[in-house]
Amino acid sequence: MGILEVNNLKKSFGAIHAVKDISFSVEVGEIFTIIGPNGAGKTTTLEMIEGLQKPDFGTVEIKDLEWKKHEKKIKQMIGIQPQSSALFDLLTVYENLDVFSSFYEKKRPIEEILHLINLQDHRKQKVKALSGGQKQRLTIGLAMVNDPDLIFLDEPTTGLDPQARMNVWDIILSFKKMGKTIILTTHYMEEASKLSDRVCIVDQGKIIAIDTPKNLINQLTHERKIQLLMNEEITDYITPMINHLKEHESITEVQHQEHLFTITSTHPDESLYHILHYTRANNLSIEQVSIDELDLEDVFITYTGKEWRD
Amino acid sequence: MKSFIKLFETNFKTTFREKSVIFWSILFPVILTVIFLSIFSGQNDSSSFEADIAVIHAENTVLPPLNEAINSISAFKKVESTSDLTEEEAEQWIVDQKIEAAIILPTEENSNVRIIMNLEDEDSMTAQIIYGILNQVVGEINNPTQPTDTTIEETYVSSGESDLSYTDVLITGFIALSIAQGGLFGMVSIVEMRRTGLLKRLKMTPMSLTMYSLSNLLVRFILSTIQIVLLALIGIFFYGVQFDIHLLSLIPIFIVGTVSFVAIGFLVAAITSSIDAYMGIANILSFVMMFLSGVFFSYSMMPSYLRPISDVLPLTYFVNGIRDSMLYGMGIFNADFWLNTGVLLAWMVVTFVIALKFFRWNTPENR
Repeated sequence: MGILEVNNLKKSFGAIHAVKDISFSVEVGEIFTIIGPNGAGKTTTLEMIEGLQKPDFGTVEIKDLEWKKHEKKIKQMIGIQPQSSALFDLLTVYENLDVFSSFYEKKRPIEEILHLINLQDHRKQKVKALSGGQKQRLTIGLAMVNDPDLIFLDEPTTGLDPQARMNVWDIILSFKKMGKTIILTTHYMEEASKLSDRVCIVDQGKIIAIDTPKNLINQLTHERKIQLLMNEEITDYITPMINHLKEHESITEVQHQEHLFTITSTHPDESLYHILHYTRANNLSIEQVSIDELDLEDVFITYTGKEWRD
Repeated sequence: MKSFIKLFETNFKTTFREKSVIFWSILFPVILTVIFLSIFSGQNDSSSFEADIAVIHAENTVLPPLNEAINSISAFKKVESTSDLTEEEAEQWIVDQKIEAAIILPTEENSNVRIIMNLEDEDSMTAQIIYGILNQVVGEINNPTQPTDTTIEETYVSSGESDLSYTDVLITGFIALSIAQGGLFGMVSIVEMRRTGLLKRLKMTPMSLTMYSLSNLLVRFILSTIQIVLLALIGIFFYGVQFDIHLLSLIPIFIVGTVSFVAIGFLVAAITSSIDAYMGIANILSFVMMFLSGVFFSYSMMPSYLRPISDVLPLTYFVNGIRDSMLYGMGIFNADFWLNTGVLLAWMVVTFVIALKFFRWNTPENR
């Protein structure tokens, strides 16, 4: 039994079926990332889990508790960082943490949170004077005031510069070290690959893939593209080389553009051996060789048919 | 309880750290009141009154004491080199508005003191004041037992009593108006909190909405108290307003009034999703009520075809309630008190219920 159980969630707004049938389970200590194109139903799903919207169908159980019966208890146990930096702008960093802290029975000392989000030196600063990254860290800090076991982070690094993003990653990883369970949404594939234990891809209101980043990538086709940039002396050998390469069973396609060859292969290692064997035998020299890497972005494109936007 | 204190602190700080709140809720009503009172009841304030005058026949008059008395009045600023001014020249000066009046002293026994003023000023306060002062001075001169001293000016001030009632009406009107506007415009913070998502964020916490509302209301009461005390003090010390305050009726009407207008502001916040929309509606309501609720004049002066509108406006009853309890010293044992509180209570309950029905935690866009 996971800390969060989502069963057959459905939600429609008029004729639009925002969430069609979503089920998953999250284990204690996991960083579970939900990604998907805009309008995929990510936010609606998250808000149903967070108790902000009522599902038309299906259940959400947080530590075996349901929103309908145990709203107050659940609210005490979870921490949420929403997309918008929803803060009291005229209050200081400390005052924001202090007032949010007053809503909860269980509290994590504010000093500790300030340290965790690295805002010790800004405690007396009003929110409106903070930078985007500092505000973002404060909203993450607010999600921690009740020392929750389950934390929701909705696009915590959107709009941040690379340095600020790294800072947030450090914070998220430190939460994980504390044994917290984190539900994350993000626009950044790199973030999803780096942080997540499991990734859940949502499109058109449905889960289309759910697994560890590594497994998701491995599930993709094994076809890789090998690129070879040959020396000028290749000119006379182009046709014989293409013919020879095509003989090998692992090579499905060979294209060339002047001296640049793009070879599609089902087994890149065997193909490479075959290619190098040929070039050595004919005394041809290779200037550059590369094999494309597949990442989560390819997984996303393969599953949704949509380009990823950064 | 700890949460309530923290929420109160939060509401207090967010309200008082906002410079526009200080301006609109405290400074603006004071400025408005001072401006209006200065325009409509300037007669009371003779110390700031000044008129440029010329005195003719000052040297050869049969009544030198009168000339001395006029000289001693600081409100009369005598224009230089008028000793050999003729009547005709003085008239021309008045037409050119170089001076406001020319006082012609008698050169023969038993002839009158004459005063020449611009016809366009005939009904103005300036004319009345100059005439009034002069009249007083002549009266003093004719009474030989009374020395003609600086008392003249003082005498005039107290003679302005007939205008005092209008000052009272105005200042109590402004007290009610500024408290009403405080509630009406104050709830814009809800729209702003909804826009930033803070409202939604708070809903994610176990915060009690009742606690939040009560703490917010407490801050509104502090603002309302500042307004009523400040404006009343201005009335007492600068405009000589004679309050006759009946606390037992003032406190209930003050509380019910404050909460009613907060409820109306809350309704506006519930049905609008942008600050512009909120301010638009609040401004319309504020304008309508400002002119139709008897803030500037009492209900009895209202044309009959407008009365049905003022009869339903909450500010009408709030203004009446404030006047009854602050000016006329009326207690709670009269029908008006119950009518005023009753109508305000009805407005409060009805608007609050409707507001709750339309209230949204978040804007449709950031759903």
